[in-house]
Amino acid sequence: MADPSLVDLLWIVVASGLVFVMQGGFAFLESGLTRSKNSINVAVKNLTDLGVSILAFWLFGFAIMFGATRAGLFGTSGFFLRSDGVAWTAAFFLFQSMFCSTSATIVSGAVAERMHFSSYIVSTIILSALVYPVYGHWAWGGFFLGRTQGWLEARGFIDFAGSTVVHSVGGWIALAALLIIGPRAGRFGDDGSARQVPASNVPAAVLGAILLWFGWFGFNGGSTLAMNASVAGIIVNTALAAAAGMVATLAVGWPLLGKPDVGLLINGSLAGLVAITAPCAYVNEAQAIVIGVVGGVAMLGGQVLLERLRIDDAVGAIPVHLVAGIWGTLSVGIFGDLQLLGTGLSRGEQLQVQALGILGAGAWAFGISLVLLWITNRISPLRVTAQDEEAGLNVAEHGASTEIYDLFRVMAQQEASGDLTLRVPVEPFTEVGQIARRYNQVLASLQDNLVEKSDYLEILDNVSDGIFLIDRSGTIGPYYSRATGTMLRAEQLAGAEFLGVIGPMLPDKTVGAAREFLELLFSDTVDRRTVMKLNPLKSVELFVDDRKGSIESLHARFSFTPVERHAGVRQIMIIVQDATEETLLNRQMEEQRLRNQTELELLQGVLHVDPELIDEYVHSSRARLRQIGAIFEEDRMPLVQRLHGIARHVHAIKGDTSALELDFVAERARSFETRVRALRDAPTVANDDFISLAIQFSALSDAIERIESLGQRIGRFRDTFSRHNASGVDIVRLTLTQLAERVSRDTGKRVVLNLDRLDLSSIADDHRRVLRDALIQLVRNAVFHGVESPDERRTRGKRDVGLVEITSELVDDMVAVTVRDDGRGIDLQRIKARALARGVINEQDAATLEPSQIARLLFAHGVSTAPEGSEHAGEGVGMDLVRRTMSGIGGRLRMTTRPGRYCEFQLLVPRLE
Amino acid sequence: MTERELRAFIDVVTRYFDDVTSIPAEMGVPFVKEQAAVLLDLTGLIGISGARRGGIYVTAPRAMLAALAAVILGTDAVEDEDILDMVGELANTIAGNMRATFGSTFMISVPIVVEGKPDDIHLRLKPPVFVIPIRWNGHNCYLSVGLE
Repeated sequence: MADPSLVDLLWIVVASGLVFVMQGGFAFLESGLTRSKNSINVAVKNLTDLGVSILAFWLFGFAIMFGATRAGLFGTSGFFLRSDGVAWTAAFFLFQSMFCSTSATIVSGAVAERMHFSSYIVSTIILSALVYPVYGHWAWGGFFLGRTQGWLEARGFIDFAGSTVVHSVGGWIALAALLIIGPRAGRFGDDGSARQVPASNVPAAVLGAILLWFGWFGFNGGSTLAMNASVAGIIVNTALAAAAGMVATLAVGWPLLGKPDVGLLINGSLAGLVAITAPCAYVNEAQAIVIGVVGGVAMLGGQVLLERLRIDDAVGAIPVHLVAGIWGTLSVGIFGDLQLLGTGLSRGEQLQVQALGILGAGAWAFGISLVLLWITNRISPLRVTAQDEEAGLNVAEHGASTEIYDLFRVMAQQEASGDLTLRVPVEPFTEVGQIARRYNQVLASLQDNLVEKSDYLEILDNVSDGIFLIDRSGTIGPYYSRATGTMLRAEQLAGAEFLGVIGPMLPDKTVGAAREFLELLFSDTVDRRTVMKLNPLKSVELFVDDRKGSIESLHARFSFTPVERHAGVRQIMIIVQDATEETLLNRQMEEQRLRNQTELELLQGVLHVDPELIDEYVHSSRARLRQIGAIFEEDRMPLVQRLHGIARHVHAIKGDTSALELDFVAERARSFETRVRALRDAPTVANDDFISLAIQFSALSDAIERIESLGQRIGRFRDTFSRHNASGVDIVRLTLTQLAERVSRDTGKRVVLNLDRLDLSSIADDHRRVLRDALIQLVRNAVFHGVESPDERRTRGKRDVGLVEITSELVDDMVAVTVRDDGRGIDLQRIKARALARGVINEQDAATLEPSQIARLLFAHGVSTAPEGSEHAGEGVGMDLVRRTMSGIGGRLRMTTRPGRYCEFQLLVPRLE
Repeated sequence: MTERELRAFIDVVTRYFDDVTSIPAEMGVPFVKEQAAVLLDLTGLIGISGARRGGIYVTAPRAMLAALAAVILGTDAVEDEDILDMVGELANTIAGNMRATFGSTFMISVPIVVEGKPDDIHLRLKPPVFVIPIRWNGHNCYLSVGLE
């Protein structure tokens, strides 16, 4: 190119700056249209591809694109470019490197949110060092050296500012990358339906679109590579196409989507810009508008097609850059001023060559990048793991957490653990921080409520009464004690109607009364205390059908407490108590009492009869009853004959009963007999008549059964009674043994009563009864007073167990019965003191009494050595009684004692002749 | 149990046959059982509580129920299933009639149908148990009533 003027150079540099701004536009656009968990990754990819592509382009790209050609396919000179002070070289490189970066950055938007950062750098290098420069050489190879070089260029292919060279090539590479990495998780449902991924920051995306639009003025306007007369027109066309693309997309898309979607406006204007990029220098304003309109609509079509093919383009890069780029390149052939194009081709030929350029771009850019990215993917996967994608690439790829990410992380932890004590971190001064703070507040109050509630629920779970609330409609509230369900035999009570639950278990009458009672309780006009007294369920029997053919009885007490709120009674608290056990016990006691009463009456009627006779009576009556029963069942016997048979047996029973004067039974037998005779003598008899007979028969059976049971009881009583009388000697032994055991147990002593040498057989029965009473007193005294406690015995050097021995021997015409204990003996001084205190002797006597006289006091009325009047001793009448009864039968009494050693009483009873 | 109540039970059962088949049923001579129960092939049991406690059951031979089903369904092709349905229906109708007769004071259970001779069935009835043979269309069934 001839020496450019400074103005041209200035324009190229300024235009480069404008194209540079487009990088910022892309960064805003792409990060705004994607989710915030990936925003940092998307933005930083834009910065990275700028830097990497500039370097790669300087190293190889520029030489391949603009160096001396090899067969019109790629350049071979200018690697590691040096401008050597030539301003044009530097300005040209600057401008072209911006274009390369633009092409590279198109890919980043499409693959956003799931591609590894490292893989993205590799793809950027492939694009800017190879794919883009090679195609660029084909179309634009002669721009730097000033002679036609590329094979497309030589055929007359025109792409003024790069609809294909920059945008379609970027779009093709993006498509190849998308096919390899696949859609984002959740973008397409299993049924093939597409789901929109929400944009995190639409205002930023809009700003990005505006910056792109602004940068495009340099992109298209600078492609003249000179500040000439066409620049202004190009920029006007650029603006018009962008506007037309936006409006057309909105006009078509709004009715389709039913809303003015943000994407329509942003991508519509960008599609217009991409479309006008190729033809902007060769068309008039009206044509520019048409191109913009078609570009926008084509982009919309591309978007629908991609979705159908389930290709997930995160920001719509392919519809915008590839589809609109193809259209823009074709539009050069359709609308371009042939003279201005200056290719010497007819319109048809020009259209053909444009199509060839488009196909060439597709074949090369899509083909080579598909191969290279596929290989790269095999070596190192392009796509991040599912967990990383879920977490977001900000954290996964850059370790850069965002507040929202931290918020989500804690929430996810909380969701998994159910731990309400966790709190999310609060970043002050941010929206997320406000959300986090509010979330923490909500959690705190939730935690409080749940803790309180869980306490109440704990109570409801464990209380043994049924407790619940009903509202005005009688509906049971959501919370009720566990016992309620058990008592009312219902699993699900919440929302059930109270009377509907208990109704089937109660007589209709009671249900009706309960309904009226509840209505009154809810009424605001009645005196509630009066109403409460009417409670029909205060003590009620619930009849529970066990579904096994029986009805179980449940006794319950319902109490009702109206819950007063601002406007009258809204709810009633009901408490149910299970009173089944108590009621049954009371009933049993009542039945027992009644039975005892009737039995007592019956007993009076039976007592006069000898038990053997009763036995005999019951036996024969039972046999007759069995025969009557058999007659009832005797199907083939004529009715009258049956009546005769029954009458005979009843008459016999009646006779026996009267003989024994058992009036209670006789009455029933008489009544039965009268009925049977009446029927027997009636002109006709029917089966039906036997109903009353069956009832009478049952009543008579019952009466005889009761006599039988009574007779058995009397018999048992008599048996016991006679058994005890049968051997009087054994009774004496048994009584004394039990007495010794009882007294020693009560006093904490250990005593053995030895009766081995006791023989009472030679004592008369009536003497024996007297002797028994005396021995009872003596044994009781020996254990209570004589034998010491085990401790005391040990200190005295005695065995723990005290010995009380009763022996007998014949002495002349008497039997001598001796009661001897090895206890502490009799304390004569104490006896004396006691007799003195009781006024049995006076002071004077006390001073002069001989020991034998003192011992005699022991048998005086009112003297006892026991400390207090206990059950066993201390009444002071025991020894007195012994003395008097013994003398009553001509017996004698003798006592010897040695303090600390023993005490011995000898009873001399007359011997049996 | 009073004579009036026993008659009412018998009436409820015999009326069933009159109403449903228009072939009258005839009661036999009732008798009293203390221990052993009378049980035929199929038995419909109804528990009673409230004013009186205990239960009643109607027990019938399969042949009678087949005949009953044939009359009611108007066909001779009676399946086993129809017979079970029949005794269930019989028990239900009787329970329903009992509710209508005694409803205000008696609590009457949902009837159950048992096949064969389970041991515990007579335990549901309170002694003395009145057994009333009922003859219908040449077949015999038994109504047992045992209330405190």
